[in-house]
Amino acid sequence: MAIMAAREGLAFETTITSDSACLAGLVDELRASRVDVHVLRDPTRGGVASALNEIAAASGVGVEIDETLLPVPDDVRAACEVLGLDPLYVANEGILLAFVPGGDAERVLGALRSHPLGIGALQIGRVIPRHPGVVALRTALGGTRIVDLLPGDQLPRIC
Amino acid sequence: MKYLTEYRDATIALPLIERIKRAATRPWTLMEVCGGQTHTIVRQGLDELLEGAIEMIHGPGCPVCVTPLEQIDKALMLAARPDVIFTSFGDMLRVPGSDCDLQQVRSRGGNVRVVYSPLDALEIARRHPDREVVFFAVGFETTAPANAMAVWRARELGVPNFSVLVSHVTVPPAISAIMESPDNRVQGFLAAGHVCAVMGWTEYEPLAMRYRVPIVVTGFEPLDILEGMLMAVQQLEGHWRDPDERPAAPAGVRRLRCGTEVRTGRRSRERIVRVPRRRRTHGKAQAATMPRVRHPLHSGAPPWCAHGIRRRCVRGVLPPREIPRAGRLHRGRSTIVTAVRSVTLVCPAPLDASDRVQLGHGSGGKMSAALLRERFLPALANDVLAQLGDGALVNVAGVEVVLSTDTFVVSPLEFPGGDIGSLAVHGTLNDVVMMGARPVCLSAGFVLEEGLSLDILDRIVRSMADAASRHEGRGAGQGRRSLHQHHLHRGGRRAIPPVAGARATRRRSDCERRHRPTWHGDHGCA
Repeated sequence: MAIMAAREGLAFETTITSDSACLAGLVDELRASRVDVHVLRDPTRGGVASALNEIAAASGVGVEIDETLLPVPDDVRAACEVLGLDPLYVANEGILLAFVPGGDAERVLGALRSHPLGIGALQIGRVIPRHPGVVALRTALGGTRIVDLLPGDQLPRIC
Repeated sequence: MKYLTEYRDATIALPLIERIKRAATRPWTLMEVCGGQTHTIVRQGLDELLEGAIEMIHGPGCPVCVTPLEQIDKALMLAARPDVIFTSFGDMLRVPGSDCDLQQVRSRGGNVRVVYSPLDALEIARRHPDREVVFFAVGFETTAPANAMAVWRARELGVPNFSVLVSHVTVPPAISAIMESPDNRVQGFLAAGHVCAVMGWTEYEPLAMRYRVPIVVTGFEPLDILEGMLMAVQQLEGHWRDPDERPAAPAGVRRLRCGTEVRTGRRSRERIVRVPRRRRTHGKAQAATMPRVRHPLHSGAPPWCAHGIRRRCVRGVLPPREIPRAGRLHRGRSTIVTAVRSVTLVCPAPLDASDRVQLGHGSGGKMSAALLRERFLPALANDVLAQLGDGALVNVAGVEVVLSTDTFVVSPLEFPGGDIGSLAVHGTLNDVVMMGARPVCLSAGFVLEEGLSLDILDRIVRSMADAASRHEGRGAGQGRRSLHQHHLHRGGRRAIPPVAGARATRRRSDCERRHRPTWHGDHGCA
């Protein structure tokens, strides 16, 4: 959103700043925790949704995420609402997705949160035995929807 | 920003859902007219939550879907002309005409631009007096006033090179068409609030009377739609008989202040936007007659969509879940009406075939994956590449090495929080780090466009040095496609043994969890 705002000259009241950062320090913390990390991915073009879909498809697993747990900052959420974009598909550059064994979740969170870039680390979902290769999202109202790969660029929803 | 969450409040929505389920003594079939309503229903999973009480049939409410093929073809012809800048809302770019779509015209060199408002198109016309700027004025009633305003403003400012290609349709004839179809299953409608803000709701009363169906005007947030569903079900169950109980509704805006009149023509199915005569002599800004929304003939089908499947679906004949099976015309993409409740797609039935690289190939979505699979893998296949990781893990003389290359193209070159340089360093380092490796070194290639300011170049290079020095000895790169004018290319090799276990391999796990260390969406290339 930072780049789009700068390119299109969109004067939001708050300046959205890119999250661009190197994740090496965070991964060092993960390494030090000795947890058996299964997959690491930095979601860039295509956003979190695309990264999750790629992992789900490659690994043949089903993924379920919880909409209420997605840490979308208010300014990004507002900008997306105004422009008709879905934050799940917006690119990132300082974000890490980690798939870890369920029992180690708390330990991993602790390790990540000990690093300045990982303060906001949270668990956003889980791998489930249903619908392999498909990413589902549990909505705030308790419904579910599929989070599919986009064919191309996300086009803003006007109407 | 207010009202992002108030109308999505689960503590209000969930009891509403229960009330709807209690009110319905049998399943009812409703249709929401507007694409915005469909989006909310599917996005929130409302149809799933109301299964058994309400079946939602998704209506022809997206103007994208109801724009006649001949209008799309006209748009494509105009957009291909070298003297034309063709402007449109983003929704229309992937709508297929007989041969291609606007996105493809753009990739072949056509000057096609996405705008958020017809007034933006007018501004483009003012800035480019040597080109004819055409705005694709599609939509139902809601977009008509803004389009009329753009025409009026063009006249007022004396902008001779602005024109509109009009393809407006109206909702009431669409409702009639659906109700008169012999295999119709729709028993009630959720009409669109923004349409009624323009037109009022008096047009719907005769329809409700004639077809004996409830028509409830709603907004687009989950609470609006749930309330509308409840009201429709109550009417269908016969609980709401007193007409005085109806809430007051706005009469609508029949005459716009600018003097442009929207009125019904003599032929009952026609709507005309006509700029008053006295203004017609100024400039070349034009309004054209809106096309008729034709009623379906019994032997034919509504001209809402070039593809028969969609037509049958919106009449309720073909349940949404049948579409994938029916769908040779829906190959490659899911639609918003599939039973799996995906919201990610643009109507109408998309056609992927093209012999050109398009912007979408760089998006990281299905087109990117298909390009890789169909164009790169067959020729370059090897075991390492087949893993399709963020980097390549190779064994060099007994040492495991992670190799990554990337290419970065960004506009603007500098933005809050970084620039193309720091982005390139971070992005490439992260790809190596994601493979569990420690970056050792970085190589960089630069493609510099003639005319680039050397001051900008200095800043970017310094930014790269800072980003790299903050993480000593780190870097690398592996290629990825990007489509724009300026770009940096970083390539490199680095050797660091990954820590056992921390590798981006495919592994199954019964119960894995996911963690996100930082905020989401901040970066955001559109």
